[in-house]
Amino acid sequence: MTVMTWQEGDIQAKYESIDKDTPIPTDRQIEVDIPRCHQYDELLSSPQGHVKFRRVLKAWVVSHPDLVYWQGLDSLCAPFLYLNFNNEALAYACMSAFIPKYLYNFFLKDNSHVIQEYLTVFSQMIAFHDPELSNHLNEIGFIPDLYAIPWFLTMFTHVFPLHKIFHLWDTLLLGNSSFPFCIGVAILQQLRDRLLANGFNECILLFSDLPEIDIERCVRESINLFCWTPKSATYRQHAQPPKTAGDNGFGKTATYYSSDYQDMSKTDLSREPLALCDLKAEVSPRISAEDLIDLCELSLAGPTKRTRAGKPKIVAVDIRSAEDFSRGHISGSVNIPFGTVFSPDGELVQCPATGILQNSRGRVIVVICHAMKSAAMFAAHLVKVNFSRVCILDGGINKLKSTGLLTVPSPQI
Amino acid sequence: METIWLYQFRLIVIGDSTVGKSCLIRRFTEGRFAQVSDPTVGVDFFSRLVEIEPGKRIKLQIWDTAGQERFRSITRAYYRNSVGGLLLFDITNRRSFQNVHNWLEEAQSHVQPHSIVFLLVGHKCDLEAQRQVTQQEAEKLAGAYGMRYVETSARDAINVEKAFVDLTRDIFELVRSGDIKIQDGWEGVKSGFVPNTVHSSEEVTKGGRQCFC
Repeated sequence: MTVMTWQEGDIQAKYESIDKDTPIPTDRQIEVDIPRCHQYDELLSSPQGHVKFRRVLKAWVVSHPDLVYWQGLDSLCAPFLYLNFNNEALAYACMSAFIPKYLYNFFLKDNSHVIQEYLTVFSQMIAFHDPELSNHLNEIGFIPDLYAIPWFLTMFTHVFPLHKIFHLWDTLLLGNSSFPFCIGVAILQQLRDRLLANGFNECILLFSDLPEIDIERCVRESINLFCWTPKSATYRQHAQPPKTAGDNGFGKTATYYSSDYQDMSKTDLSREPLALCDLKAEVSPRISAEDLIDLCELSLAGPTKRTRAGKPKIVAVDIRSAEDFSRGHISGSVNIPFGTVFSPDGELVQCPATGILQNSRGRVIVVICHAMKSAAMFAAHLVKVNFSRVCILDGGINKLKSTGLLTVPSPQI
Repeated sequence: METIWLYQFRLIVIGDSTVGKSCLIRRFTEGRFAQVSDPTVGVDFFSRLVEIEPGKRIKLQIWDTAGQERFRSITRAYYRNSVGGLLLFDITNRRSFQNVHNWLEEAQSHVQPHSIVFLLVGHKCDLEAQRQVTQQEAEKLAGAYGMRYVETSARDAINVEKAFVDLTRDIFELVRSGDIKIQDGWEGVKSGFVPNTVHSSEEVTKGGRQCFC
């Protein structure tokens, strides 16, 4: 773990300039938390370890006046301190660079809007990747608020021992800030059978004492989940705002997967902020028109010859009426008007359109409509009957009208 | 096998950081004492069955909360669905006793329209030499708020069973008298499955965690 754009000298000077001695109100909490933090480890439980722990945590608190110490920050500090035990300044610098990327504004005094949005996006990710599990957990009221706060607030450092954290973080650091969602889903999937077989009480007990997680498998499965997740599906309006040039803390050449969705230039085809209550009302994530164009490989120049490897397979499902569809639609999309496949009680009815849907199982299904409400409802119905990888097009078909990408079938001669 | 219980009560355990909330609950549900206990981040959950009268079993769902004050914005969401609570302070830490009042106010303002039956617990009573809060003043405070008071030690397993069972009995009486009603959409009290045939007590302990204290 390195902080690439900072010079070693700068780090030392900056760290030394921070007042780590004057008492602050947070001292008491730090004092009681340190002796309870990863104390099975020899370094972190040593008297010297406690002194260093205290200094690094205090330096972070003092140098981030807009943020505050939340219990759990001690756990988050542990891997940085352990890896840079003889270089406190570097431990501090790494932690200071890590937090804005993965935990932007999580440590605000009032962080509820940030956490609530994060957990809602996580719920949508569960529904996207594992509808059956999502349906069950929602049915028994086992929501992420009950178990996932320590996971994300500490980036899993409160739930795993150090050696597992290092393994997990090695991969986490290569991905973007939405990678933790995939880790969360991968953990749930490892406990899937037990979760599915049990009710609320058994599930909460399972998580109060998290069973052994195979971390190698967790990493492998997180990567797979990540590759199947369209970038914009995890958009959060409270994520770190786009970085300005020269302010790039993790100064690396961005690749499709390592760059953050919110770092890409924003256009009319990007995702738009959504009020929390609206976000919560939707089971499936929205994806941007940009993502749809990219994943469907639509462009005015016609389909590109070279398909990019590793891209998820996708099917665009247009649920508008046949009449609207014939006036212009996305090339390659299939028309399945809302009423044709679902009975009033949400069951899939037998018809040719259902066949198309069934054959699309496993692909990313993008539901397109002109009204977001209908798209969200259609997606929710699909999730209910265990269709995975369902998402909806943010802004609907109207978003694409200005792009010139809609095709109109040539009139029959 | 799903164990048989008459009611399920949801209890919340609150109080300052390091007063020993998690240790007390672990002693009660697992019968052991952990020298070192991780700080609770957010909420944690435990469960145990108690028999308050022969054949009358209550399932307790116990919600452990983070003690740090800022977590109240998260934990207060759990007050509403609790029927009972243990409010802990540490008898060797005067400040945790002074904060009892704040905890009660916080709980009362977020529990409307329901109310929580609280028990005041003076914890770590094995550390008599370091006592900073007398039993008399704690009893007086509890009395002023209409609570019972009990002193416990998770380390020496003193009164741990009593604290939970007394609170459960009090709630049970209020449910029986109709002062507390089971309501749809409220998780505080839930009615359990009562079979026609009475099961042997052996069977009951099989599913739950056993307590050795």
